[in-house]
Amino acid sequence: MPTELLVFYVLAAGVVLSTAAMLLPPMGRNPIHSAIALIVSFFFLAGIYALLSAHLLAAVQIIVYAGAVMVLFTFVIMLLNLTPDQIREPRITATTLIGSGLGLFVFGKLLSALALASNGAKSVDLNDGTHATFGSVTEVGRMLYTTFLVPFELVSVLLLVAAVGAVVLAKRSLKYKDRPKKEAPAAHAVAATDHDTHAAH
Amino acid sequence: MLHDLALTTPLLILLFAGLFTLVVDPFLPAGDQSRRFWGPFNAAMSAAAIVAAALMWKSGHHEMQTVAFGAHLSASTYSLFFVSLVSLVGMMTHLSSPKYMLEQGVGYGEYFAMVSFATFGMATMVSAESVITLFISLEIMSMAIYVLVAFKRTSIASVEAGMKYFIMGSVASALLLYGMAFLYGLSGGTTFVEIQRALVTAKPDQAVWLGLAVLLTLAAFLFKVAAVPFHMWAPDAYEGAPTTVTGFMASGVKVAAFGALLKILYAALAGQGMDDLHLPVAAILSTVALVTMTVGNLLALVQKNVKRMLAYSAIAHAGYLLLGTVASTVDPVLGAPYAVPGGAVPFYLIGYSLASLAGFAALASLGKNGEELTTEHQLAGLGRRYPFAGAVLSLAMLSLAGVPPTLGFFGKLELLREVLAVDNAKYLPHAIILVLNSVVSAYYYLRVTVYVYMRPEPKVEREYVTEPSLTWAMGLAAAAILAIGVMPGKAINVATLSAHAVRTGIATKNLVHLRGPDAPAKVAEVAAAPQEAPAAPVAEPAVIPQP
Amino acid sequence: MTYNPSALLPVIVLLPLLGALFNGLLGSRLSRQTVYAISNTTVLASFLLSVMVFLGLRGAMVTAPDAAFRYTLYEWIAAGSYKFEIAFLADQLSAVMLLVVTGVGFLVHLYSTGYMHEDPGYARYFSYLNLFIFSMLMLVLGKNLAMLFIGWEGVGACSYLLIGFWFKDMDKAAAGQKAFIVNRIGDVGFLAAMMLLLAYGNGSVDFDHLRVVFSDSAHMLDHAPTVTLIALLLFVGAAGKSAQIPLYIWLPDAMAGPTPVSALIHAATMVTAGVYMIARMNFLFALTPHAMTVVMMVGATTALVAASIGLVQNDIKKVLAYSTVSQLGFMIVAVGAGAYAAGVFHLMTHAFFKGALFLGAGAVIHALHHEQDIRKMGGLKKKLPIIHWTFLISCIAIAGLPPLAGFFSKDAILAETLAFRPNTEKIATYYGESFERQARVKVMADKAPDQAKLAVAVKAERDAYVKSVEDLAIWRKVAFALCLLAAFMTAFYMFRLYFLTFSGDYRGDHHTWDHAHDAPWPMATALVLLAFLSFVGGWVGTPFFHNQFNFFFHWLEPVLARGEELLDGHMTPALEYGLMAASTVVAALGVTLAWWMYRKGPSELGANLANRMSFIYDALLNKYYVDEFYDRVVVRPLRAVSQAAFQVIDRIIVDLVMVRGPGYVLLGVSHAGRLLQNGEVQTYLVGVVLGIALLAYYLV
Repeated sequence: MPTELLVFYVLAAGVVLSTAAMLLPPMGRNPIHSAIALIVSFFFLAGIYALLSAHLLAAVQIIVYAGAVMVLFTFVIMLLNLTPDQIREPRITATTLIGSGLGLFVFGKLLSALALASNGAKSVDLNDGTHATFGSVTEVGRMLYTTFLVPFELVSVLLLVAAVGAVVLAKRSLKYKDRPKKEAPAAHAVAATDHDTHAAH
Repeated sequence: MLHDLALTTPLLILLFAGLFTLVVDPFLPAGDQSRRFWGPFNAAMSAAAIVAAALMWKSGHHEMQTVAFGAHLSASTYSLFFVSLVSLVGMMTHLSSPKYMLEQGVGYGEYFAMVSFATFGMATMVSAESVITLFISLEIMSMAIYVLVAFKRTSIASVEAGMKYFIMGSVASALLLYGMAFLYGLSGGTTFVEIQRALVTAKPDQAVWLGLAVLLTLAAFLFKVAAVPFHMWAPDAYEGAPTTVTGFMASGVKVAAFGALLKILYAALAGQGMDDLHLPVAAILSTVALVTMTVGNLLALVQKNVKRMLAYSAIAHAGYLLLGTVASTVDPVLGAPYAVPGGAVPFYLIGYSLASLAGFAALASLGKNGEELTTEHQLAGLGRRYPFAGAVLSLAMLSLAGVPPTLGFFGKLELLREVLAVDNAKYLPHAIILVLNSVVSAYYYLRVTVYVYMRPEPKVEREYVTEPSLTWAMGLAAAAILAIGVMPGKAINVATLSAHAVRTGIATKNLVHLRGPDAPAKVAEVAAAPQEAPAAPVAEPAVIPQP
Repeated sequence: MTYNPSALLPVIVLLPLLGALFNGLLGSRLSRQTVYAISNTTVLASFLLSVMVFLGLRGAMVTAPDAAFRYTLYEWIAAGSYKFEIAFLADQLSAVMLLVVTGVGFLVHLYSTGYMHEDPGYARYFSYLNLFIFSMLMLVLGKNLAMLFIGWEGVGACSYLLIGFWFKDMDKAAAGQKAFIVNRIGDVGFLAAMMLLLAYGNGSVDFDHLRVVFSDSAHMLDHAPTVTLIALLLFVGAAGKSAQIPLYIWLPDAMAGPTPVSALIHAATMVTAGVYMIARMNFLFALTPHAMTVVMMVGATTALVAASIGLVQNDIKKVLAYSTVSQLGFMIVAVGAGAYAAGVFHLMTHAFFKGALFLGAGAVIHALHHEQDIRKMGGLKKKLPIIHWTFLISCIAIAGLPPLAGFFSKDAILAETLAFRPNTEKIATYYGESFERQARVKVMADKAPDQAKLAVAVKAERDAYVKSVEDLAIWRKVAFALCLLAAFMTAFYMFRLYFLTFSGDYRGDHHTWDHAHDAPWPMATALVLLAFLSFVGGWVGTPFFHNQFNFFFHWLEPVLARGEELLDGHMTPALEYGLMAASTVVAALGVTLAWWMYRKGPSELGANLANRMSFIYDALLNKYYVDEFYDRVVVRPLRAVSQAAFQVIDRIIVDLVMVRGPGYVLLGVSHAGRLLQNGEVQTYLVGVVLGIALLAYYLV
């Protein structure tokens, strides 16, 4: 048991640290570095899954997320080819202050609630008979094709919608009839404000 | 298996419509004009879904048979009602779109496929009987709508709106998933039946987990219905989206979200009324409702763009509806203390979605040549130049304002009646604030009719989008608003029947043995029983005694 | 032989609707004569049918004293435990209203054919007028509160359309809007009351059903505060429609509409709907002396305040408008004092003489080419004899001099206000169970539930209630005094109006004088008939010989039985005749004073008085600055709030603290707006996090 606990703490610390590294400078400054930090985080997560004897999930985490998804991420980042001056320096504004304050409050609430709730909770022995097959490929496959058949099939529709949507939005055969003169992303933001403030006059 | 499939016929029809459109579209003759065919086609398929749902309602699928695929989906009267309503929304959107989208320069077949997929998502969402199905169908709906909002790629506003909605929506999805994970952890099951069973027999030390689950689930739903302060995405998304899509969102998403919210509130969480949870859920819902309606109405007052005004108005209506969610009555089958929602919310949704659809269809007729002439001043002269659209728009506004004898009036009346009937008029202050709010709202709704009829026509020539299917959409919606307004009795009855069936037969039977004079003992017994009881597969509930 | 004319009821209601639809849809293609014919015939037919219903009701009452005709046209909503029907009820009260509405309505239609003969919008006008009659009939014939409400909204809408009839004139459109908004405020109260009745009254607001509910104490509605709340909410609605303080401000402005409209809607019928509604709901109001006292005092104050404003107005229609508000105050006093029959009686006589006055004023205005200022009139006696005589008769009637109609109705109100008091015994019996419940709660709190203690507690509850009701008695005397003063003012300002208009020398320009002509025959007919009714109309309700010949009051008894059952007190002949003498003297004094001051036109005496007491005079002339007050206190803050929450700061600082430099404020305002909805997803997400934080605070 202590061994498992030890392994868990190591993995959990890895997740937290790599995620922090992804967001914060100096690594957070460079998108590619952030992406690499994210991969590291995914690996640690996969370790936690394995520890919970969810072996299939651990493998999927590495193959799909750390493999396929991250490759896509990296491609997109490289295609965008951001130069350092295009990356906005993080500014401290009222919005960020209020937002982070509220966020910390919620986080604290969640944390305290979890601490309260897990106090005295029994742990489940994953090695006993009932849970022997838990997380195995066989078991997950059986569940997906019996109990969770409908959600499983629905996911295929979801993926189809997402794929078609991406294609529709990226299709290049558009006739730009009323292309706006200024291509500033904030153009509409200003317009939105105008609606709400102008009316006051 | 076949039986299960048969129960999902309306959903399959909608799915088929989308797939067929997607597959056959490349083989249609080139050119945008031929894409207009998809409007009537998909509308017909939606109509077929409504017919299928109505037939199933008639044939009386009650009790056990309503649950399909291991209690992940249902065809209860409740589900069928909402499936019909979202299909109606889809049908109207299909009818009003073809020419408009063509004029906007994006008349592609994929548009109609996306609307059908979104409708499918909504229909699945309101039929869902498990949190996982609910989540995935919500994602199908949302994903399709993100695409639809950004569909007019020639417009920065549209793309920006889609992007914003996508980012915000993803946050809500994450919240919902997190909340559902807690529910799973709490009950050991994903279906509403298992969750409710577990909650009815819950031990006090689970309260914290329940609080977390309710918190996250509620937040996600409040986001989807655009309640204050989760509402800020709505005005930008509504204004930026193509007008027909705005109408689709305003009506469809609201119907689906409230359909699912009522179900998760009553069939999964608070089986014995909101107080059963020992959490201030009713207080929160009613307070959020008041804030939402007031903020929505106040901000709507100063808007100059009708689309944006209707976005705030949609927020206000979400407030009215949220107040309706706390109006519960005693379950007619199980008896006290089990509660079911009243018919007010489903009935109000009929009126609200029809009025929104009529209004936005009329606004779509202003979308000639890729323009969106939806500020108030651009409406001047509509009553003279395109009298039909002007009349439909005015009727929609009157119905939204709740002027008798339109459907909107009876929606409000029914809502107020049910809200006041709770606990010796406990919500009297809320009801009074609601009435005051609707007085305020009359001002900005009537202002639209003033512009349509009483302002001098502008000198510039203006063309309007006219086509038969758009006329049909406007005519059908307007006729329904008036017809149900004159004879609301039947519709109220249908809505009430459906609301009372929020629990499927299987859920009811599962709860039956927990009540009676010795219920506390039985509850304790079930609670004391080891893991097997909740873990038993729901498809074969062994614990049901013969009634 | 008696016959059952129930089936006539929908016909009576629908005929004017047909006329309205026909004229509204085809009117622009029809000739003037056809439009006149259709609109007048439909209303006349309704009137004749109403007479048949009235006679039928009389016949039926021979065998069954509480006979009434009921007709269900259509079951509108029948869902679950509650239902609404499109159903009509013609009982004694409805029958009176029916005759007044269709009778006066027809005369106004007839008059309008003369009055509107130059207006190009005649088809629209008559269509609205017919629509109004239809709505008003829905209101008085409705068998349940919901029907009444539909008619209530309908007459409001017609009034709005007709006030703004000349909507090209911005002021007139604004007057229409004001009427609309003020009435909506009243409607909130009405709707809330209806919702409460629905919630408590077993899902039905049918009058017959409600009367049973309120007669039998064994149901949920036996809690005095709840009943009082419902009554007060209903009264908010009545105050809006019947122009009572503080909602009376719309009625004077409503004079912007054509004058026949003022006569029909804003004097004879629509504005009395509040009085009708309270009389109709007498079984509810009678149960709550507290609410009744509020009603009575609001009515008395309105009567006095409006009469005092009427003293100094110079616009012929404005004087009549304030007079209407004041007379409505009298009616509200009556129904508030429990003198329901007297209130309805005054409603009827007022419809006659105020109708005649307004139509007479309209004829004067018509004759003088839209001159409305009485300072530019005078001496019209010789020029316009018919108008003069009818106007004089109605003036005597409204002033309250015997033996004309106004005397009897006003006297009945004054006398019964003083003589009646609530029957506390019966009212307390009705609330018996509620007292017991409250007592039980209190005794339980003491944790010693024994019977003796409970009985004592019940008695204590009951005594407290009875005492609170008895403490209200003093207000009746106050209301009586206010009304007597108002009656004096009424006599004065009405004769001031009469003398300034018709006696003395003409003070306008000679061109107008030369072209002035007496009323053409349709207008003259209407005037003469209404003046005749103002003369004799009161004779059906005389109190002589112990009410032996008081047909009107006996007629209404079946409807008002429950309300009167809960009243106590009776009239002694000494009080009766003493009051008669007193009110005659008061009225005669007012008339004499007016004669002394104004018989030769505006006198120096009046001017001196106005100068001497310019403070009061200005206050009266400017209607106590109530409009300005509302503008400052209600309208402007409301507008400020509605300017999307952020301009509030601007308003308060600029208007109240008078700080200069709104630039800074505006900057702050727009910044606040940007914070609210700046188009940035980050900010929107902060909103979401805020929501989650609030939820987390309460849920976890």
